[in-house]
Amino acid sequence: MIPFFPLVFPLACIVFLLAFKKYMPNTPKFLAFAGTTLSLVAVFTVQGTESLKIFQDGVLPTPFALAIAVFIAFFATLAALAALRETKSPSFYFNILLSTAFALGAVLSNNFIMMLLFWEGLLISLYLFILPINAKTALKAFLINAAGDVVLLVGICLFYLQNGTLDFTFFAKTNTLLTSSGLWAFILMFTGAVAKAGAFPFHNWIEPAAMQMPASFTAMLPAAIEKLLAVFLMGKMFLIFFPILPATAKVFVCALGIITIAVAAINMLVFKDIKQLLAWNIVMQIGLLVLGMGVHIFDHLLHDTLFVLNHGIFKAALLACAFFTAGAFKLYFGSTDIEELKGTARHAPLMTFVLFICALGLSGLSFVDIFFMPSALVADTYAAMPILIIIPALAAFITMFTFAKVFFALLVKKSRAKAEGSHIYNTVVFLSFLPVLFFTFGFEFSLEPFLAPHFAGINLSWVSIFNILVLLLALALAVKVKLPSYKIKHNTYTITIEAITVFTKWLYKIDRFMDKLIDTWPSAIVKKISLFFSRAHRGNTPQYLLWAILGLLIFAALVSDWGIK
Amino acid sequence: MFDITGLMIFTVLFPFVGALLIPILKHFKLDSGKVALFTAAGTFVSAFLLCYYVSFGLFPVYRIPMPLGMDFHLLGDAMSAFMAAAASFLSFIIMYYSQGYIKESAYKAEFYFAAMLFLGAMMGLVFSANLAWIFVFWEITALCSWRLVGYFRADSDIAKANKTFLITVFGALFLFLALVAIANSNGTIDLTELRGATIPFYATLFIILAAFSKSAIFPFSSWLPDAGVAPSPVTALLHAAVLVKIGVFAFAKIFTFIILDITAAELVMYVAAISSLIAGAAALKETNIKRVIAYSTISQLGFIFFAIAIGGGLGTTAAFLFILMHGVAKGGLFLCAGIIEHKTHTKDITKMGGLAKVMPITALAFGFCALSVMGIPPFGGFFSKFMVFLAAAGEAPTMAIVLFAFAALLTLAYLTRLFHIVFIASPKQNFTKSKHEAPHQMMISVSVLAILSLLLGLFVQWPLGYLSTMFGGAL
Repeated sequence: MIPFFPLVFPLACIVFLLAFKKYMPNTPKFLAFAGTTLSLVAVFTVQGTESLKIFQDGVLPTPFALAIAVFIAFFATLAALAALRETKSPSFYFNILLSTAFALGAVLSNNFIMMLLFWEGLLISLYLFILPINAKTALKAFLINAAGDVVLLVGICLFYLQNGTLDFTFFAKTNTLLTSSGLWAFILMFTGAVAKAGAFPFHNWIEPAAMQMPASFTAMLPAAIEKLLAVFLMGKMFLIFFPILPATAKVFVCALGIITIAVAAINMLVFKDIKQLLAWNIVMQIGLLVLGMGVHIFDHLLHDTLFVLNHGIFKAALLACAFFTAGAFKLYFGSTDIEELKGTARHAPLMTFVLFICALGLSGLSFVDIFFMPSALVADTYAAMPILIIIPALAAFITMFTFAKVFFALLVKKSRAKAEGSHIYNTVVFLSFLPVLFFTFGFEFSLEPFLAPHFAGINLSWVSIFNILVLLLALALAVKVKLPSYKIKHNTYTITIEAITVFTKWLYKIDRFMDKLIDTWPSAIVKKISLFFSRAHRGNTPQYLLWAILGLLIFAALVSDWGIK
Repeated sequence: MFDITGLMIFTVLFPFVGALLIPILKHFKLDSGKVALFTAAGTFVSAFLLCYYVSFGLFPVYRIPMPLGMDFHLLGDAMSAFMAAAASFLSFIIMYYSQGYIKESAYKAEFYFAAMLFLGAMMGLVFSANLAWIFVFWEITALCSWRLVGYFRADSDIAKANKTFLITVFGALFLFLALVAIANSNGTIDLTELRGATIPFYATLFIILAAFSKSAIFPFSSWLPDAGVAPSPVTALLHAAVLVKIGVFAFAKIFTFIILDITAAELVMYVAAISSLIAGAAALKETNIKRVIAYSTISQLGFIFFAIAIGGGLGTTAAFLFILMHGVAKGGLFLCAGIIEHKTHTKDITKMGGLAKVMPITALAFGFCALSVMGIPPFGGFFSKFMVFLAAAGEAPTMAIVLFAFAALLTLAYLTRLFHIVFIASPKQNFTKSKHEAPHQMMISVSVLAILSLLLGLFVQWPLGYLSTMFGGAL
């Protein structure tokens, strides 16, 4: 089948939805679920490249791209299913379909122009998603993502200068030296890629959106699809920049990762709500992904590809699963606020268990992390610079510490009436838990032969022990130590907006000054001069006589010894 | 064989004939609007046909010898035919919109007369291959814009019209000086005879100054927002679609024949970048809807100058694709602003809000056009902006690219701000929803431009294919 075949179903469902939403109120729900499910099935019919090498590029989508496409369609299907209980708004279902189509289009494209077309199209669906709930957040999300997309666009243009092509087909054949514009192309493309997933400084929209929107939105877009898109683009970048990237790029990537982790950690510690905690965890996970790329970036193509795959797919699955669970809490108990959820664990044991497993996975506990990649990250950061080990350790510590606070609150003994259940939401939580189990215990072994060469040099046992110790310490401290109570007044978004306001104010002043220089002042001067001359020509004889004498004197002065010789 | 030269002459003369017929036919009770609409449609059809024939490599030439080397020389090359088709199409849509906007007015015939005269001058300018005739048509457009901007007779309107006239004529003076300088140094002012020639640096500077004043590039940009006092079809016609494109077009056309000095090219890039940034910033501060859109035009014109200054096949292709996409989308935005003003009786955006519910079709059309100007795919503006950056990546200084990237970000910011304040924010007044948002001619016009903004993106291979074949800017 042709690469874009899976897009047909969500797009066709959009057309039906627009045509029939007035006549059949339940049509949007059905169409969203049907459209996403059919696109999932259709992805399996797409003919990919025959090569087994997951990073081989060509005209057809690679197995790497198809794997990402499968998960995009899968998470979209789950979101459509979860939304059945969360909202009746036809526009919500419309946007699920639109986002699915755009995201699938981006990963199934075979050149950068097509990819950008779909990639930036997600801006529109993101905006339309949030707009009915909160216009201010929609604007914020749009502007932040758009800024990231402009960065990506410029990066791709510079990349064109480097390679002379935007077609994925030719990447493998190009072997050019990296010029300064090539390095800039890498930096800008990388920033554009991680901006989509919410890396610093493009993260500020995620938390308010997660708090205001239904969980199915957050589970689908920021937690899963946008993360997967970032992973997809990074996978492409491996192929392009693998042999030629200098150390400066490594430093840039590491710094971006560390800052993102730090920002997420600071915000996670003052959480009050599960959704808020998970929203900042999205940022934390993208920070870890970026740091991981930075420390062993382009050491080994297969290893790097697997690393981003692990982080992208497995962490996206964990976050999506956690968000669906948060959505279930909201549906069952009417809130995701920790104070209000105290003592709910015994009424919702499945959800609490799922959240616990997700917390362990997100904290990077060995055996609950696919391919041992978080453990490998610890080992790799240590190998790159021993002091850097603090960063993943701190991320793991804070994740476990904050989640432990959630569990202690859920487990506390407090009488509370059992809330209404929902069959659909149980199904969603269970279905979203499947990929977590699949990756944790199944997929890992099937890929072991690929991993063995890389892990041969890494002693994972000390890393596992180190990890467990960190997590136990976090757990122990969570029993006694209270969450800090500082307030975060400023973020990069507000600072940027303030800076732009000042900047535009000054530029506007320049514009107004030029207007005065070109129009107001010359007009005033001309008016004054003409007023003077009109007064000087009022038709009375003594005045004209005076002018004549004055003129005569000037003429005399000019032709005399003082003037023209 | 089809007389392609006749077609070119028809394209130039027909609007002039139409303009002259308007006051005559008025005495026979024939509606001036209908005559103007018919004239604009005829001009568009002939320009489009010409564009089609030119794509086969048929370039019509027509010359009437004149003294002092001022031959009336028309040349229908790809650049001219494309520009003529784009400008006449937008003029046709705007004339159709005007049928609803200007129904009963004492100056209706004058409006259509000036508009058609303007269109004729534009056609004459794009096909002229002699600098003297470019100058003549340039001045006719200045005169027409003076009358059109001062359409409403209030003192403040007349002052703004005078300002528009004086600044653009000030620019024309530089064009005249350039003409004299080139005649003096090269012995000819015929562009075909100047092919591959170099001209003195000061002559290049004179042309740049002339182009900047006509296309409202900083520091000559302040007339454009002020000219927003004109009726909406005028602002769309002059400030989005046609008038402001004269400067960039003349600059592009002249320097297709004459070699552009590298220092001058870099100067143009930087001034255009600064102009884009300042205008983008001003658009973020303004609260008058027409002034915001006018500043947006200034900002986007910087991108076109940037692409032309980059030059080469890719740069020229990017510039002309930008002219097309921006013309369509910005025309739509100005016309939507007219509908909004018609409905709310104010231009102050702080007094609006929540209009998406009251006028959903206008909101959708405005949204489509704004997305195109922002450069969001799959709208046409995305491809033109992408092409500009693509051309820049190889040729332009890094600092200029960075400045334009900021300008692109500002475009996103001010247009989303505008859309939010006008259509999404809480209403500041109670606007009642009526069955018709505006007369059907106005609604159809903005809808056509909005849909076209999308279609030109979805089927970008057609204009892009044409331009890249003609200018050699294929990817």
